[in-house]
Amino acid sequence: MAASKERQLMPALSPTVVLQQVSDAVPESCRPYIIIIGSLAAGYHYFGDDGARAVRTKDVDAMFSPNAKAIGAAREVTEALLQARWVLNAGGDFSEPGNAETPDQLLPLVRLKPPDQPAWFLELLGAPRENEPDESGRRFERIETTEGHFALCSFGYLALAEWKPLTTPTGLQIARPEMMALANLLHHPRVGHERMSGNHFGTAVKRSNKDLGRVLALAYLQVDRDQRHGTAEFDGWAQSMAIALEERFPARAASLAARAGDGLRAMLASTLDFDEAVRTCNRGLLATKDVAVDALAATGRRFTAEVIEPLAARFA
Amino acid sequence: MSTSNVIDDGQQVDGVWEGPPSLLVEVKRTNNVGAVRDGLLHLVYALHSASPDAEALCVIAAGSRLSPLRLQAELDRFRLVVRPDLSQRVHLLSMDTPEQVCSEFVSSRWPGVEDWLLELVARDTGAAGTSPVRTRQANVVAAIAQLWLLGQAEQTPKLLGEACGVSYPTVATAIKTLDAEGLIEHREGGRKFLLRHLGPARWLRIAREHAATRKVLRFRDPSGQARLPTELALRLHDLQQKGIAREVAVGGVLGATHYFPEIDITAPPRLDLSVYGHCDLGFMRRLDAALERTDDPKERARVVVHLTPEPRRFVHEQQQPYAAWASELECLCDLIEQGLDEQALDFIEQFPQRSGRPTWRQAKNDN
Repeated sequence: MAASKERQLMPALSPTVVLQQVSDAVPESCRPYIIIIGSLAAGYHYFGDDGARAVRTKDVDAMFSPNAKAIGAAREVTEALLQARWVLNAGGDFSEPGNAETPDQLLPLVRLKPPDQPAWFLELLGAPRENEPDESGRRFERIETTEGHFALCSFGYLALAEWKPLTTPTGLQIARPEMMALANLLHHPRVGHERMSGNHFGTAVKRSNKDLGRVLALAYLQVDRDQRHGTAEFDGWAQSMAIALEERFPARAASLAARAGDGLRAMLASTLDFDEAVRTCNRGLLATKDVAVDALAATGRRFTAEVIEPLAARFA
Repeated sequence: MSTSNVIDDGQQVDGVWEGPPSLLVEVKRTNNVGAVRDGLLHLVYALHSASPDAEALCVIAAGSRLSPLRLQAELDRFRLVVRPDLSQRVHLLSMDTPEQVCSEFVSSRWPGVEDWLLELVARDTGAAGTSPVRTRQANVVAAIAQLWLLGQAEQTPKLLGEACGVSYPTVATAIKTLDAEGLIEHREGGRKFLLRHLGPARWLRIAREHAATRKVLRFRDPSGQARLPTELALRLHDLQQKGIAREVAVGGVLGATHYFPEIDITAPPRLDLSVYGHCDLGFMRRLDAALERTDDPKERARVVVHLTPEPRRFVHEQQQPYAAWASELECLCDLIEQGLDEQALDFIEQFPQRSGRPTWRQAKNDN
């Protein structure tokens, strides 16, 4: 019963098919400004070439970058999708468009479902402002469309997802996995109490456990990919992260690097939180792997020793 | 040397070291001061029946919770109440570790007695199978064999003892063992000796005995993404170039392949590392933090660390790129431990060539 409910909530998506679908739907001129982030980006990178493997997610996150182009491109994409009969994702407190009187922070995000496709929706996000890269909090920027007013949400650490994104044949870009991992690490300096709204994965998990667990899932998938391809990209993660921090957060790079592992260490040290993170990973990015608790704990030790510690050491 | 443990009138002690002066020994593995007192009194009775210059030693085996201060206090009380001409000839010695007898007084008064004492304690406390003396003798035999491989078949007992960190009697006993098998040629009036040859069966025995003297630590990789042994070896070399884990050398299949590239193994099943001397095992975390210790012999080990008593001089170091290879004997032990018997024999077959001699098969064909 629970499993069937979960399947309804968390559709199995082919990352290649969905990425192509998004690319086809957005105006060609806007594609260069879109960076896909989150589980679809990770799934595409790690097993996009394996038709048998899928990503379990209901939201596809598209970040518009750079910030200067974000509002214009997001508006154009929203209009195009609505014209192509994409529909607003109903439900929740912010599902109706606002108007000129609606304060920015009360405007709904742009969440659009493809026609005849109730399983997932596209969520539009914005890159942080370039002149305020140290902003680590949430910021809303207004988008005015023919359907009403929406908000383009941005988080400071999304600046990392803009760092040297990977190109795809679809014309869209995807964020580098190690940058998504670093953004998650920095976003959760501790295990927070906030739980995900709704029946995410069939239960209300702590957001930090989901996001920090995602870090380990990315590390696991990277090592897996390195072993399949005979590469050593995982070995370069600490260096990439250090360079990205220096470029995106020059004033705070050292302190950010020093605390990057705090939340992850706290989660690894808590049996309950770590178990929740493992369960969440196994229902998401690692759905076809079914990774055991001690296996992901080993990945945690490896990630800490080979990424977190060298990253901090580079600034010490 | 030890002869009998029975004194003239039938008083029995655990052992007697024929001096002069002779030394009567009682061994006690106890946490009870009463048992110590019994031992001291027993030795006094024995001394009363022994030659007038004989002395006595009560050895408290390692692991006792009795502190040195408590033992000294007991000896002082004992000497207060017992006739001084007897009690002053009774001594008390507490061992810190099962491998060591530390007493300048004892070793200077009865030179060479330490190894005998260790064996006596091991026998008396039921640890004969792991006798430290036999371990040291096995190490000496292993060193003689390894030196032969390095083309240094001719040795002096003195230098050998220094290289292995053991006393002359231990070296002498080890040489005697090989001599009894007709493997030793004495030179220069006994000041030097030469190991003539070792056949495959003897090599296997030496390897097994040497392997038994090593401490083995097994590491599993629960990540399900174990790194290949070759990859781990490269990571070790990277660490060593940074000055970390310089006491560690690669053995096992990789090491054997280094010495004998034609060995018939497609891929190393695990990484074997030999650790020479004291080494902080913290390097394992830097090698791969996913690894964790396991004591389950059935569990597949990805890395096996052998704490070897071998002298570090047997490590084969190459400079560019830096690599440290465990000795041939270490590699042979690793092959045998992994059940790679055929490969072990192939490896042994190459040993005479390495020492500049024809292989056994070549010698057989020539004959």
